[in-house]
Amino acid sequence: MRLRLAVLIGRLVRVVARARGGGSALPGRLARLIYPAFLRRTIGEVGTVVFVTGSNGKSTTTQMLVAILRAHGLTVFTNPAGSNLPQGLASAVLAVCSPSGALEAEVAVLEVDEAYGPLISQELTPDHLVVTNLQVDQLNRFGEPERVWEMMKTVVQRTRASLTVNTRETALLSLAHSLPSGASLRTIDVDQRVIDAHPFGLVEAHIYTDPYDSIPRPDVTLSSVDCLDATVTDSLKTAHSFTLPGEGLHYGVDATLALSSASMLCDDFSWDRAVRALSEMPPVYGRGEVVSFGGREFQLIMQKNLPSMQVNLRGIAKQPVTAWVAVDEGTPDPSWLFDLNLGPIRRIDVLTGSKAWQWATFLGYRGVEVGEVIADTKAAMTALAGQGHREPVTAIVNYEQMMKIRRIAGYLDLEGGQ
Amino acid sequence: MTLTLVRILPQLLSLNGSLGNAEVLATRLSWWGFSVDVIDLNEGDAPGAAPDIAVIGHGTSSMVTPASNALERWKDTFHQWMHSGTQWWGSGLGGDFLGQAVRMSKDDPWRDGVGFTSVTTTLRSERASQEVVGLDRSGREVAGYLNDAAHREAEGVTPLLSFIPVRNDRWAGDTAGGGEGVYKDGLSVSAVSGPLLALNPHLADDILRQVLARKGKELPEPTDQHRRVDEAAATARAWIRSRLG
Repeated sequence: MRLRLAVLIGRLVRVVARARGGGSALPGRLARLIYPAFLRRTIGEVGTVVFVTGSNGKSTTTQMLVAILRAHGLTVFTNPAGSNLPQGLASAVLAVCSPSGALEAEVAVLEVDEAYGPLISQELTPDHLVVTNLQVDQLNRFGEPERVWEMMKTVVQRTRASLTVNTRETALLSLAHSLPSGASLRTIDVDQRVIDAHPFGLVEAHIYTDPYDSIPRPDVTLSSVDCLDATVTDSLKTAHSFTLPGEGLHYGVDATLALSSASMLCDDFSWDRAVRALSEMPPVYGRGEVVSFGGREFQLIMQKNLPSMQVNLRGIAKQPVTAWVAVDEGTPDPSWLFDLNLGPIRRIDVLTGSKAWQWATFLGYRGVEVGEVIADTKAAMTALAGQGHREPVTAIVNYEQMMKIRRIAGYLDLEGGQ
Repeated sequence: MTLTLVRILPQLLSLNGSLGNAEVLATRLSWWGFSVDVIDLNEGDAPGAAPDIAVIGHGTSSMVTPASNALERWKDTFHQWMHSGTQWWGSGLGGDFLGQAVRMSKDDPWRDGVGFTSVTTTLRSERASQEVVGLDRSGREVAGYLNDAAHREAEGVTPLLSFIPVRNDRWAGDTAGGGEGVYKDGLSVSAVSGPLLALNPHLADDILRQVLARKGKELPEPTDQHRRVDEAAATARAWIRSRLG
């Protein structure tokens, strides 16, 4: 009865929130408040539960895995990109569940925030866990990567069947020490030549952990990444090529993890279907997504933390016609900017948000010209839209500004269009 | 004139933009027309002659042991550098290693520091994480971001900064009477990020004034580049101050 009430009230709030262009967290928060076992009694009833966590690449890997599974005819429940806290998961349930809270899905593939992994796994036990990577993230939010590793370890201890990691990440391999009996370690690999060909490599955090020696053979290896073209080899050494949703080694690693996991989850796994599904994937929400406002397009490039922003900036091959940086309190400590390689960027046309002047200071030391500071997001978008250029604005934004920009541009599908 | 700036253990101690402080010092000098050789001193390297400036950055707890091992071998050389007039800047863990000792928790053994100050540091799991404003030892405004997870004890040190107010009761990293960091002749240490010297260029110029004085030169007047970036930093500090009310 309380579950039905949670669904009813959560849905009502969801309708109101969406109509007002509000965030996606509130309905889920209310549902969990009314019925604390909400996640367990909804997602937990789905046959197989997969958690995808890690410092970066969670959204992409999740969406890739979902696409491959759906291409194999499986019904999949998933949460929208970035809605990876307990309330976000609950909101995603509210979007598709029956009045009784039932989900019509054979598999649940969930993007799970690494800091909330221990809490979520307490409510909802994962069958399979995919850890994309361990990188240095925002210290103010997560603390050191050593602490994040401990959080991941807690989730590993609760994982029923398997842990999948990149064998190049030794700290992630050592998580296997904590797997419960009956659960196994699965690995993917990345050819050393592929790593060497990318200037920033895998940007994994270097922390000291007990080495794990019983490493199984990788079942999929990323053997080449050339712009958008990637190739993996399976355990029989057969090569499979596909198109990535964006340029970069990280997308290749995400795809390899997704392929490995899908091959385990699909009884009738077909490489042809899998690579076709990957090749047909649209850009991941907020990662290269293009929104329109005032007759001009804005290409959104996320700045979440140093490793993710560094690889996202790799996609900028030359000075953009118009470059815009919008960063606010969602990035409380932007100190890591000084570790950033700006590549070909020599001019930022507009700086926006409460961190604009810290960006201006940083850019000054890098010799990057700054056009003007327009603190307000909408005012900045209006000014940029009115410049008379046809080319899109390259918008380097944090998550909070991305949501704001989408709302201002009239994109009310704040749950990522799932 | 060519000046030398050595970055100590940049592969281990460079977390959260902390080596941006070296960039700030070198860039400000270059805007005045000085040539700056930036030299990295990594594990296994042999330190050369005393540089004009030495900068050591922040690191994670996993870096305590390797950093300690490397610094132990260079300790005597570093004291010679200090004696020769090298100006030192230390951020976070690197700054802590310029003190007496560092340990990863209260149950872990102490690792020797370089010993320039009396500070001993115990890393903690609790992190103070907030914007801060305050004054430096000369009463000038400072602002930055305190992202610190350490408990420090010290005797007889002069803090580099004092915060107004210290609102985070989880912070245990003060060095003397609520003060932050350490200042002594030839040495400045702080746990504040930002990087601190970018947001507070007067602190950078304090160091550079000492560097140039040793060469018989005065700190030149700011160039347009200095003015532009310092105005941006002043506005950034004002925004931080307004956010803190």
